[in-house]
Amino acid sequence: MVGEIGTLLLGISLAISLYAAYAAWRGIQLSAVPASSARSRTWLQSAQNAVYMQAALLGAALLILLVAFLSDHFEISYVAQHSSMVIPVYLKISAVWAGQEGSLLLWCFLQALFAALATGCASERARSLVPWTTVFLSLITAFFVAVTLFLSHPFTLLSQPPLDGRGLNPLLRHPGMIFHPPALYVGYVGLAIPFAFAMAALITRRIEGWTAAIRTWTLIAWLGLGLGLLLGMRWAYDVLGWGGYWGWDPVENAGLLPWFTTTALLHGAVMQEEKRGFHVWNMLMVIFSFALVLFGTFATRSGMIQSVHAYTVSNLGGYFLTAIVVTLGGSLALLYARRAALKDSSPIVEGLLSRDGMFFLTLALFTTLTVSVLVGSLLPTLTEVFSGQRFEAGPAWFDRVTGPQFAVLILIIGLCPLLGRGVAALQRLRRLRWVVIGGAMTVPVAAGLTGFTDVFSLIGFAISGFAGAATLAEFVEGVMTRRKRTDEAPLNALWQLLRLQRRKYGGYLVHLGVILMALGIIGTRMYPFEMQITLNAGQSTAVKGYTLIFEELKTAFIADYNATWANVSVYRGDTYLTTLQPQLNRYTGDQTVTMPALLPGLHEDLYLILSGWTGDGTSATFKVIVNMLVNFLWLGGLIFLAGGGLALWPRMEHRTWNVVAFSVGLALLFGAGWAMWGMPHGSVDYGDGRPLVGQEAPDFRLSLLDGGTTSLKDLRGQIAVVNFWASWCPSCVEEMPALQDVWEMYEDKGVTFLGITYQDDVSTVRSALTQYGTTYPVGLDTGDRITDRYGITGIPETFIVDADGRVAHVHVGPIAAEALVTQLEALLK
Amino acid sequence: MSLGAIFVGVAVAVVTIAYIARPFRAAAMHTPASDVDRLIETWVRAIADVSSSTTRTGINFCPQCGRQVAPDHRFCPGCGQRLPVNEDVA
Amino acid sequence: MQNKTSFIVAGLLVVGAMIYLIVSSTGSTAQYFLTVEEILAMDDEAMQRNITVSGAVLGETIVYDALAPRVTFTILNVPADPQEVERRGGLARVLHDAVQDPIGARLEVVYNGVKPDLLQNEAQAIVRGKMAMDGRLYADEVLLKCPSRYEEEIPTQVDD
Repeated sequence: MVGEIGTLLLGISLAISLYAAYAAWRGIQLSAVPASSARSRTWLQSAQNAVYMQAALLGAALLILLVAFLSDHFEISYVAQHSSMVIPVYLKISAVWAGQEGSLLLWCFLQALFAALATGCASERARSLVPWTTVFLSLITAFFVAVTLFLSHPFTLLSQPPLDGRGLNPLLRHPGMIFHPPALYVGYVGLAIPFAFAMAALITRRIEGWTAAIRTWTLIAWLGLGLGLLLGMRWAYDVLGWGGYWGWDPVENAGLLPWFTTTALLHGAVMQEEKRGFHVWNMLMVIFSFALVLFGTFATRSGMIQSVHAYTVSNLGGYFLTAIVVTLGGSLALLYARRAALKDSSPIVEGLLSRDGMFFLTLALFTTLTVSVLVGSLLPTLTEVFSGQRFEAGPAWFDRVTGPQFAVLILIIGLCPLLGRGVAALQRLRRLRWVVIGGAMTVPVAAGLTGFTDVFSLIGFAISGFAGAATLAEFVEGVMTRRKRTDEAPLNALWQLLRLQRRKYGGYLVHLGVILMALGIIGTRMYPFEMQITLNAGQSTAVKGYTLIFEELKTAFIADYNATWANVSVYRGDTYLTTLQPQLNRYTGDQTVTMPALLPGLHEDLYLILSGWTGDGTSATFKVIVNMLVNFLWLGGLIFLAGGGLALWPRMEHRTWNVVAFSVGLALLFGAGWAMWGMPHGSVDYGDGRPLVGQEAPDFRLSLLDGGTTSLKDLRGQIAVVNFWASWCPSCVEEMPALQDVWEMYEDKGVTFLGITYQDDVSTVRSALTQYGTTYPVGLDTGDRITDRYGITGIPETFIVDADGRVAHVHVGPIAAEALVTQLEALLK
Repeated sequence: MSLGAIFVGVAVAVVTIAYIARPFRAAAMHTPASDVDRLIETWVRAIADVSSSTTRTGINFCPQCGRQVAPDHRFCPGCGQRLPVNEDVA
Repeated sequence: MQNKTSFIVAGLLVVGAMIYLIVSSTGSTAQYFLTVEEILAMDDEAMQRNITVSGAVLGETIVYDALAPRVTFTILNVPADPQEVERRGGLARVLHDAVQDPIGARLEVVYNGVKPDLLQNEAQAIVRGKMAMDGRLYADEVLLKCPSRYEEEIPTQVDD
C-alpha cells in the first residue's frame, strides 16, 4: 500500500504541474486587458497554489520512499535493491538516492521545492517575471515527474517480496556519500531557476534587471555544484583506493561543465549589473548551464559516452536528448527573436588591460574550458565520425588541454584586482608592484627549496604566488582604508569589511580558495609517486623519508563483511609518527572494498593500500602513494566554500536573525569541513610508538607486586628481558612456562627478567604467577603509562634491552624458549 | 491497487483540487485578500505595468505575443489581442 | 573602436590556443578505443600504439600472484556500439553471453599490479596498454565496472 500511495502522489503531481503551467499562462493572457485583471489575479493565484501543492506532494512522495526504506518494505523493488535489514539507519536514509529511480524522485522534489521558493519569495525586482517563470518551471517539473513516473518508477512492486534486501553497495557506505548527491542536485536543480527567469525576462523584454533578480539562486546553485564536486573528490580520494581524486571521467565532467558556465554567468552578471554589457553572453551562459545539466543527465544514462563510471544504458537517453533539443532550440530561438532588446545594451568598453578586459578574458576562458571538456568527453564519438577511428581522451589529454587554460585563469585572478579603472589603477599598480613580485617569487623559491623542481610546476607556483599576493593585498588595503576612517582594531576592521561587503570579499575569498586548490593540483599532478612493495612481517622499507614497518596482519568479522588489515608503523628517522591500518573488506558475494590508510601532512599525504597477502599472514603486498601538497586542495576547497557562503549570506534587519544566519552558516561550514577531513583514515597512534632496535629503551618506573620499585635505569649493566602480558590473555599465559625456564637458566648470568601487566588486577595476576611458578619480578602498569611509552599494539610483546640500555630485540606475540635463548646467547657474547 | 491506497489517493486529490480552486471560490464570494492574494496583486500590477508601458525608445509591444506594434494600434496585427489604450504615450 | 579590436584579437587568440591544445593532444595522447575482434585483426604497425580495449572478463581465467603482484586474465569480445548492445538485451546480458560463448574472440591480459576489487566473472573491463609479440596485452591501466544492478554511483576502480 505504501508504494501505491507513492505512485498516486506522483501521478497527481504530474497533473498539477501541467495545470500550474496552464494557469500561469492563462493569468498572463488575461492580465493584458485591464477589464479582466481580477480574473487574471485569480488564475495566477491558483497557479501559485498549485506550485505550493506540487512541492508538498512530491515531498510526501519522497517521505514515503524514506519510510519504506526505514521500515524495510522489501516488496518495493527499489528498496530491495539498495537496502537490507542490517545496515545502520543513516545508510538506509542515504540509500534513498543510491539508485536512479530514487535520485530522480529527489530531483523532482528539489525542483518543485525550489520553484515554490523562487516564485513565492521572489524579490521586488523579480515580481514581474514570476508568472512566466512559473510556466517554465512547472513544465520542467512536469518533465521530470513524467520521466520518473513512466520510465524510472521508484515504487514498482515485486510480486514475491524477498525476506531481506540486497544491501547497499559497500562503496557507498561512506558518510560523505550521504551529502554528495544531494549537494550536486541542489546545484543541478538550482540552475533551472535562473534559466526560467531568463526566459521570462526575454519574453517580457525585461532584460536589464534579471541577473540581479536571481543572483541569490545562481549563487546557491553554483555553491551546491561546487560542494557536490568537492565532496565527490574527497570521497574518491578516501574510499576508492587509487590515491587520486579526479579522473576526468564523463560523469565527473557532467558536474564540472555546468559549474564552468555558471561561474562565467556569475562574472558576467557583475558586468551586466555595472551597466557594462555582456547581456547576450549572460543569456547564453544561463541557457547552456541548464542545457548542460540536461546533457549531463542524458550522457550518463544513454551509453553514448563510454565510461566506467556510467550507469547502465537505460531508456531515458532518448527522452533527455529530446528535452535538450527542445530547450536549446526554443531558448536560442527566443534569444534571436529578442535580439533587438538585447542590442540596446552596448558595453562601455575600455582597453584589454582593464577590469572589463579581464572579465572578458575570464568569460572567454570559461567558454573555451567548457568546449574543451565537452570535446574531450565526446572525443570517441567525434573522432569516429570524422576519421573513422575511435580515439579516447584519457586524463593526460585533459590535463594537457585544460592545464594552460586554468593557469591563465589564475593569472587573471591576480591581474583583475590590480587593473582597476583609469589612472588610479596605474598608481595602485605601482604601489603594489613589490608585493606582487614578492609573491610571484617566494612561492616558487620555497617550493624549489622543499624539493619541487619541475619547471612547469615552478611557473604554476609563480602564477599562484602572484595571484595570491594580489588578492591578499586587496584585503590588507581594504582594512587599512577602513581603519583610516573608523580607527578600529585591525581584526575588527576586517570583520566589518567582510560583513558589509559580502559579495566583494566573498569573491576574493573564493579566489584565494581556488589559488590554494591550484597549489594542491600542481603538487599531486606534477609530482606523482607510487610504489608497490611486498613485506614480510617485521620487515621495514624506506619510502621518501619515511620508514614503514609491516608489523602484522589481523582479521575480524564485522556485521556483514570480513575485514583484514595490516598494522604498519610509520617512522621518520627514529621518530614514531603513527600506525597505519590499510584494510581490505570482503563482502558476501565476493565483492571486495579497499580502505586506504592515510597520514596527512601539509607537505604531502602518505597513502597506503593493502593489496594482498599470503594465507598465513606472514607476508603482505602494499601500494604506497605519496600525494604532494594534496591538503592544499582540501583547505582551498573549504575557503572556497566559505567565500561562496559569505557572498550568499543574507543581511537581515533584525540582529537576532543575523546571529542565527551566521551561526547556521558557520555550522554548515564545519559540516563541510568534517565531511572533507573528518572521516577516519585508518591510522591509529599506539602511544609513543614502538622503539626501534638500536634506539635507547624508554625509561620507566614500575611498582613491583612484592613491594618496592624498579626502573629501567636501575637495570643498566644487565641485560633486561621486559615482557608485557596479562593474566586474561591466553597467548600470554602460554609463554609463561618458557619465560620461567629461561629465567632460571640465566638469572645469575647478568640477565634480569621483568614482567609488566597490562590492564590487569592484582589478585588474578598473583594466581597466574602462582600457577606457573613465576619467580622473576612482576609489576602492574597502572594507567597504561609504560605500555603507551612502548607503543604496545597487543600482548604479549617482549623487549630485550642490552646492558647499555638499548633495544636489542623486539618480539611480538608469544616467544618460544629457543628463540629467547638464541637472543640472550648472542648478547652475552 | 489496494483499497487503502485508493482512499488515500482520492483524499489527496480532493484536498489538492480544493486548494487550487480556492482563489476561484474566493473571487466568487469576495472574501478578504490573504497574503497570497496580496502577493498576486503585486505581480498583476507589475505585469500590467510591463504590458502597458512603452520601452525606452518609445515603441509598444503586444502583451500577449510580444510582437512590436505601433503606438496607435488598437489590435495586435500578429495575434489579434486588444491592446490597452495608453494615455501617456511619449 | 580600437578597444574592440584588441578584444576580438584576444578572443581569437584564446580560441586558437584552445583548438591547438585539443588537436595536438588528440594526436599525441589519445588512444585507440577498440574491441577484442578489432585488435586481433590489427596489423603489425598498429601493434606499436597505445590501445584501449573493452571486453568481458572470463572469471575462471583470473590468475593472481599476490606477491609480484601480477594478475592475468582473459577478456572476451563485447560489441562497442551501444545500439548493438541494446539490441542484444542490455550490457549485463551481452557480458553474460560473451562469457558463455566458447568460440568468441578472446585476448589475454597481463597486468603488473594489484588485483582490482571488481575483477570477477562477467565484469566489463576497460584495459589500456600495448600489445606484445606474444599476442598478449600488457596493461598499464585496468578499469572495471560491475555488470550491475547498482546503477548509480558505480565505483571507478582505477589502477594505474
